[in-house]
Amino acid sequence: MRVLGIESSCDETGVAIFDSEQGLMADALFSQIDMHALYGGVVPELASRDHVKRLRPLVDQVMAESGCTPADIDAVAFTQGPGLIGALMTGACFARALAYGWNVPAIAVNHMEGHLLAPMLAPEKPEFPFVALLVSGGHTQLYSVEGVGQYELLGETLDDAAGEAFDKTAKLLGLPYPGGPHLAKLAEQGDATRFKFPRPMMDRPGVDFSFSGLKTAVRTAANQIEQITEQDKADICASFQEAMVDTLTRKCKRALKEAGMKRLVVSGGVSANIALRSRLQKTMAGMQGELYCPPLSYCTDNGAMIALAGWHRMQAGAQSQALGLVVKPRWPLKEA
Amino acid sequence: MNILALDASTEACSAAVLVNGEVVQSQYQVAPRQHTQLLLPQVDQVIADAGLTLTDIDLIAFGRGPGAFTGVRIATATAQGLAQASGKPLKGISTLAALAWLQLKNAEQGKRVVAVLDARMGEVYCCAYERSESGLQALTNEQVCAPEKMPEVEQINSLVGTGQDMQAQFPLAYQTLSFDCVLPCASEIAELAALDPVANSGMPVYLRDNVTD
Repeated sequence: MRVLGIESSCDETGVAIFDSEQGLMADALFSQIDMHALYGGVVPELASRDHVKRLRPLVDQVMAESGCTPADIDAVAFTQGPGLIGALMTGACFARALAYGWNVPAIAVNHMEGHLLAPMLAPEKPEFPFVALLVSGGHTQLYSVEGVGQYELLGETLDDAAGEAFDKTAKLLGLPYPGGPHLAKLAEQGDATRFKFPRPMMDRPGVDFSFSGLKTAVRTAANQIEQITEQDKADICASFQEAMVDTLTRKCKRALKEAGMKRLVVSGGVSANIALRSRLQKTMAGMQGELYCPPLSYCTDNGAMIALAGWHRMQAGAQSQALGLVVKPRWPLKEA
Repeated sequence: MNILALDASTEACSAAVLVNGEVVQSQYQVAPRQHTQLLLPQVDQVIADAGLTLTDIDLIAFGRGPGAFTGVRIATATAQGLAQASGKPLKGISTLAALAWLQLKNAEQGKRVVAVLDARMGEVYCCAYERSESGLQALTNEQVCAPEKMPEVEQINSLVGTGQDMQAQFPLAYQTLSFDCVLPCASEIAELAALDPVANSGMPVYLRDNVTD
């Protein structure tokens, strides 16, 4: 079975074709990062305007790359939410009409479920059950996952998402947009022990997160330095990242213990962070457990994870969306 | 020639099928914020009621704006998806032209109207048109402007569209004209596409491009 997946929930247009036997056949992505960089963040109207320009060329591209004809496609999967409403509508209306024209089912996918299942695009795929850390610019959540559609929320951030904290800290230090990857790069040259930033909520039971205090601590530390040098910045980045990685790792460990599991899946934009990956790898090895992450290029938004999740949903009995559809800008994964 | 047309640029949502120059099926509903639920079912209905399938359609036309940004994109994305699936050519039609055509299609040559759409934020989208021998001739560029700044064209017979509550701020000569308050409909979009059935880029036209404030 072949599923064409369409992602358009934020600032990336992604289209991909997933085959249940061969795996990913083609994958195309257009990122709007450069456009939004001018404004220091995603401008929703510009995002929507761009999706409408990219969808057709990207579909043409994956059809050509895979050598598929329309008759080879068995379903169209699309992101129904959560995300920016205008961006979601653009991709959903296009996808629904495409599926109608091809006379195949249109499968609605929760974007976060796409992220959660993205590690299955890697050569070594996790088996159920597992604990999943979804960590991105919009989310920081820990789930116990028994199977497709069986998600129990164990804990989540009470304020900023981890990726948001990365980006805001980077902005504070004057790093270019999007800040997270720039911060991680600069951290490589820094001394992670110079600043002792807080590990919020570590002294409390449970696996909820809070990152706004960490952000404030960084601001205070930066303001105390009179003439901030590049080395100071690198040290702040390294110390910040250390606090972040330490917090995320310890909460994952706690969640695994609570759930009585030894498999950890980490996905979402921040899962591309190398320091986080290597710390989690070490931790899981120490617990005789296993860590699964998406291939680096599938950590951020992409069409491949939507095609994959759409296929999983069909296996679980999902039916085609009606011709008239709604998008779900807010759509908790546990309701998916 | 069989043409499928659709529009969602205002509170109205519509689809129509034209066969050999005549609109044979149309659906039209005023339903704010329900366009994603209504548009594709309307498309399916008009094609089926015309006794056709999507493969029988030769051209897909849609209201490409100006209008509500989200609605314009719902129509555009839906039309693009249909065109992508069927391999049929795509043609975006001005929603202002569709309004003008409603007034002028049965009028004699030389009659003139200004099509207006409320653009919110105290502005209007507008364009003046004349009934030509073969169809519709634009007399100005489409523009978004304050009602006072509407370009004044001589010998306008009437106004059509939305934004009547701003008519008192229109140029003097426009203030006393009759104002036909209607919303764009896919039927006129289909007819305009039939007059000039050449595909175009199939992209929206927003007119208002300063959207980052």
